[in-house]
Amino acid sequence: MPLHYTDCSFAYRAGTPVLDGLTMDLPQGCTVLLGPNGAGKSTLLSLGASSLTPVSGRVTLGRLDSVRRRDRRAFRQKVGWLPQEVKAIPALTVREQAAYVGWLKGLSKREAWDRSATALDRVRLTELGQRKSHELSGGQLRRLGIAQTLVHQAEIVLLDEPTAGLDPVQRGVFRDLLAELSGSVHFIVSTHQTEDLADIYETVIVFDRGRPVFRGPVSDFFSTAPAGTPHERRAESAYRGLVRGEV
Amino acid sequence: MRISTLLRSGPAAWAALVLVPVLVWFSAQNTESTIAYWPSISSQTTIVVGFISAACGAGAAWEAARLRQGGITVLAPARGSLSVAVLHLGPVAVLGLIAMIAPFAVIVTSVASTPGLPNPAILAVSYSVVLAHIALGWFVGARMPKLLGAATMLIFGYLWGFWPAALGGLPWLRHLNGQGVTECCGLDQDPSIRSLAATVTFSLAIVAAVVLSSALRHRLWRPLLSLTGFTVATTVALTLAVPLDFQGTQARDTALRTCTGQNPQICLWPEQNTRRADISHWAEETTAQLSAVGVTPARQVEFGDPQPDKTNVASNIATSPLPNEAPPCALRQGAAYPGDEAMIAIYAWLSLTGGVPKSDLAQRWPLEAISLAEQIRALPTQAQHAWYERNMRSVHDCKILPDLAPASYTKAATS
Repeated sequence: MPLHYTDCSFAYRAGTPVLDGLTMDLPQGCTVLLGPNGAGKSTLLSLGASSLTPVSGRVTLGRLDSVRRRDRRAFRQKVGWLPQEVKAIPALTVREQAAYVGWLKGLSKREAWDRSATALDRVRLTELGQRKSHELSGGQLRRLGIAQTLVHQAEIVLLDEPTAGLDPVQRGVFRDLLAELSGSVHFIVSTHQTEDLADIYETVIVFDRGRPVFRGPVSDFFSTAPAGTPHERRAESAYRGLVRGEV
Repeated sequence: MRISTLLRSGPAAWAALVLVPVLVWFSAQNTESTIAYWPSISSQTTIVVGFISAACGAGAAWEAARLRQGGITVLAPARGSLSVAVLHLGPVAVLGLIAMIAPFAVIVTSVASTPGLPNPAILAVSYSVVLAHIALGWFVGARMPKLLGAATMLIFGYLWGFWPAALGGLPWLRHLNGQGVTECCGLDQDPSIRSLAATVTFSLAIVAAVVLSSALRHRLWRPLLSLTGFTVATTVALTLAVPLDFQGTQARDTALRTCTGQNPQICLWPEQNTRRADISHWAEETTAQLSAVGVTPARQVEFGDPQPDKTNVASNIATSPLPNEAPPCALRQGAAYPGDEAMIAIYAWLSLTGGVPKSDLAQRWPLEAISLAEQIRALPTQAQHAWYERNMRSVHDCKILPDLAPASYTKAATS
C-alpha cells in the first residue's frame, strides 16, 4: 500500500505554507526523495510518519488515516520513521533503546526485546548492543535509528536525510546497508546525495517548493540529463536541471 | 522497556537506596507522639510525606527530561503519552508507596498490639499527595533541563511539604498538602473528613490537569480543559479547607465507647477494652480514697491513653473534678486569674489523694506544689476538705483569691 497524501497543506508559520494542497503518493519499493533545502522534503516525510499533523487534508496508508484518532496507533505501527536527528536516550544501552522504540511503536515488552536483537543484527550493531547508546558515533547512531524503524516490522520506512553529516566511509556503510535491506522493506529516503542512485533505488522523486517536479524510475531520471553528460555526472546534472525548472 | 531496564536506567531504584533507610531511621526516632490507635499511627505517614513527595516529584521530572532529551515524541510513537507516562512513572510511584510503607511499618511495630486496622483514608490521602507531586514533576521535567527540573521539584516539594505548617496565619493551607492530620488523633478524635477531602481534591486537581494536558492534542482544548479542571477542583478543595482550623480532627463517635459503673461512670474506647477489669478495679480504689476526704469525682471519666496503667487511672479520676479550661472571666484580655495557683495545688493534692505516687507526680509538677499537697494531706480529713472546697471556689471565680496555707485550715479544724 502506498502512502497517500490528499489535498495536504502544512505551514510552520501562518501565511507561509510549506505544502499547499498537495496530492500525491509515495510509491512502494525503494524510493529516493531529492530536493534542495527548504523544498519541503522533511515536512513531507514528517507528515507521512504522522510526526506532524496536516493543517488540512489527509495522509493515508490504505484505510488508515493518520489524523483520525482511532487510526493513529495502527498507522504509526505500519510506518517506520527515522527523523533527521537520531538521539540517544540517556542511560539506555543500544539494545534497550531499539527495544524501547519497538515498545513505543506498539509491541509488547517481550516482543520488542526479542525483535530488537534481529533488528540490530540487520544493521550490524549486535556487537555494540550492550554499549550505552550515547557512546555511539554519528554513523552508528544512524544505524541504531534504522534498527529502531525495523524492530516493529513497519510496512514502509521513511528516512529523513540519513547520511547527512556522515563521512564518506560511514556513508558507504549506510548505502550498503540500505541496498541490503531494500529487498525486504519499502524505503523512502530523503537525501542530497545523488551518487549510486541506480544501485539502491527504484524510483526517484524530485521535490521543489512543496511540489514533486519529477517522479519516475531511476533510468527516466537519468535521461533528463543533457545529452553528452559524462556517466558519473548524470544524476547531479539531471537533478540540477529539474530543480531549476529546465525540464 | 523491561522492568530491569526501567529500574537500572531510571531514578526510582537509586533514590530508594537513600530515601527508604533515611525515612525508616527518621520514623524510628519519632514514635513518641504516636498512641496505639490506628488513626494516630496512620497519621504518622503524613509527617514524612513531604520528603517522599519531594523525592518522587524530582524522580518524575528526571524521567520526563530524559525522554525529552531522547526525542521520543519526534519518533511518532504509536502508544499514547499516558501509557508512556505510566511506564516511566510506575517505578517512581512504587518508590513513593514503599517509602510510605517502610516507615509506617516501623511505627506499627512500636505499637504492635493495637486492635483494628490502619486508617485507609489517611494512607490514601497521603499517597494522593505523592501522586500529585509525581504528576507535577512529569509536567515540569518535560519543560525544563534535566537537572533544573529535578532540582526545582526537590526544592518545591520540600517547601510545599513543610512550609505551610509554619504559617500560623493561614492554618487551612496545611489541609491542601496532606499535613492537616499530622497531629491526629487522640482516642476521642477521628481524622477530619473535610481535611482529608480537601487534600485529596487538591491532589486530584493537579493530577487531572497534568493528565489532561498530556492526553489531549487539540491546541485550544488542551490548555482550556486542563486549566478548567484544575481551577474547579482547586476551588472545591479551597472551599473545604479554608474554614478549617490548624487541626484536621473531628470528635470520634461516642457510641463506640462502653460505659460502666456510676460515680464515676467509666467510659472506655474499644482500644482500652482489654484492660477493662483492671481499670474498673483501680477506679474503685481511687474513688474510695477521694470519698474519704469528701471529694466526688466527675460523673463520667474516660482516658486518653489506649492502655492506661494504675497511675493513669488514678490521676484521671482524682483530677476529674477540676475543670478542663479556665473560667470565662480568666479568658478576657488582660484578666488576672488567681485561681491558676489554686489549680496547681489542688491538682497535686488530688493526685496524691487518689493514689498517684509522689515520684510520678514529681516528673511533671512543681516540687513546691507537691510539698504543699503533702502538708495538706497531713491535715485532718475535715481540714483537707475545707481547703479543697475553699480553693476550688477560686478556681471557678476570678474574684476569689486562693487561700492555700495549711495553717488557715488547721485552726478551723481545731476550733
